Amino acid sequence: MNLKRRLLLTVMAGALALPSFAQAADTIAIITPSPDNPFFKAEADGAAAKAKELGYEVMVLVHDDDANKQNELIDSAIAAGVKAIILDNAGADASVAAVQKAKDAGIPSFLIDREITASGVAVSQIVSNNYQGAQLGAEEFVRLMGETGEYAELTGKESDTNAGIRSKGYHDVIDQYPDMKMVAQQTANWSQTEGYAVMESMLQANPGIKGVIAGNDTMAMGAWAALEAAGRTDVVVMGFDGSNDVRDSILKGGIKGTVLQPAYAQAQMAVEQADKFLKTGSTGVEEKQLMDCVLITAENAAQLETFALK
Amino acid sequence: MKHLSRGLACGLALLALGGCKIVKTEKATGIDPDVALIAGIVEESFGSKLVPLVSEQAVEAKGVLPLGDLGATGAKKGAGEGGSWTLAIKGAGVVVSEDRKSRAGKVNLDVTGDGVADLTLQLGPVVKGTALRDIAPFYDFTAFRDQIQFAALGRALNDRAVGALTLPEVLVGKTLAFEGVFQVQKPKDPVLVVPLKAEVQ
Repeated sequence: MNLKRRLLLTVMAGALALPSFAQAADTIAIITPSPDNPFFKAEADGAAAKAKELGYEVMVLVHDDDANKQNELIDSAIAAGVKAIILDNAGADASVAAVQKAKDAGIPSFLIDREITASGVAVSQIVSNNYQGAQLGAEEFVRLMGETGEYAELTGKESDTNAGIRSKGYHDVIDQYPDMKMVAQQTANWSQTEGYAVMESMLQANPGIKGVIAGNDTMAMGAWAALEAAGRTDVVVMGFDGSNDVRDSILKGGIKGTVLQPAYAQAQMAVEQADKFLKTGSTGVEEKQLMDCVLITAENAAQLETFALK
Repeated sequence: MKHLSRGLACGLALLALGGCKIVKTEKATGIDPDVALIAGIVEESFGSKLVPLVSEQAVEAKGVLPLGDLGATGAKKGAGEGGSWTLAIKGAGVVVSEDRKSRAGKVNLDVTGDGVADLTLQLGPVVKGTALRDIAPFYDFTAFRDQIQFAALGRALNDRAVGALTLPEVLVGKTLAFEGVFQVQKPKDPVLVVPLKAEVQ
């Protein structure tokens, strides 16, 4: 009796242990633009933390906003046999084929931050409500400018829908105020160094500028550095993203505000949906989902930490 | 029971719009193809689907203002922790103040009878937010090319709503009956209603 029981237990333990010997943990690929921008780092970190929590291995890759490189990374992910891809893509049009390729290989993709211009290719597309966020930022910008004066706009990378939608959101508000005059508008490709250079030349051409509204925080940081160097700390600067860098600048009385995109939570939500999809065959929600943004000013900046409000 | 019929109505509405496909057209004419496409969607859905949906769902303003637990009001919650709550509301209130000169024209109404404004009716032409779009299950983001197109729908619905209102020039002291939709992220946010109906009583 005793022996029999012990034997049975041994057999059961063996049977239980077997599956974990037979297969390694499933892997989820996380592909984002360069983590040099803390926004993308927060995304990758958020996704990786959630994936590990749910028992997956992670494969973290960076496409540097290069659609060709993204294409190669998708190939690598397919070859590695990943179970799902979490992707912040390298171009709304250019990425459709890459995501389709993964789908054809039986690998579902869950997009974060940026959309692609097709539906039915990715399983989920979870993006920030950039229009709503841009309107929040623009309303605050107009208020800080006293509804009047010359201003400049730094726009993002043209291939990214978010650049266009933020600019549209800004102008749907600002253009309703006849005394707000845009004297310069130029892309700085989401880049801090380009933001600095573009701001320098804008200032030379338009010394009367009272405000700068930027499509993201890194460009706002670049613009603020150029304004500081020129002794123009009177200029109102607004960003978009909610980075710790801009938070610190706001708390020191530099940049006036930004708009928080819940990047960390968004990436985690994508992994949760991937997990549910892998286990049940459905996420239970619509493919395209909008997550609302929050205005960050000196009032609530102290609560901001790594793209989330404490 | 009410929940079930609402679910059923939403399902039917979704099915109905399922036949309406978003087709990308070429930019040959120099006219933004989105403008015609959005105008078509508004024309097809505004009077026949959106107005009845809001009428059916609208809760009495007196019963929910000032806002407390948003989940208990039946409001529709957006994605994620910080997602907006969208709620259809109706009632009548006394105009305590108004700003009709601003591009973002508005009147502030007292619906609880304490002399203090509880909500704002947005009279435009500038209207904040996308409450009208977001209340309706038949405006599905997935069916749109991108956020730009989806935002244009929100704006077009707002324009259509406030464009149809006819109100006298001075409203302070008058009682207005209204029906509309608003969106907040937290209970303390101002209640900015996009009105589908606003009439002096």
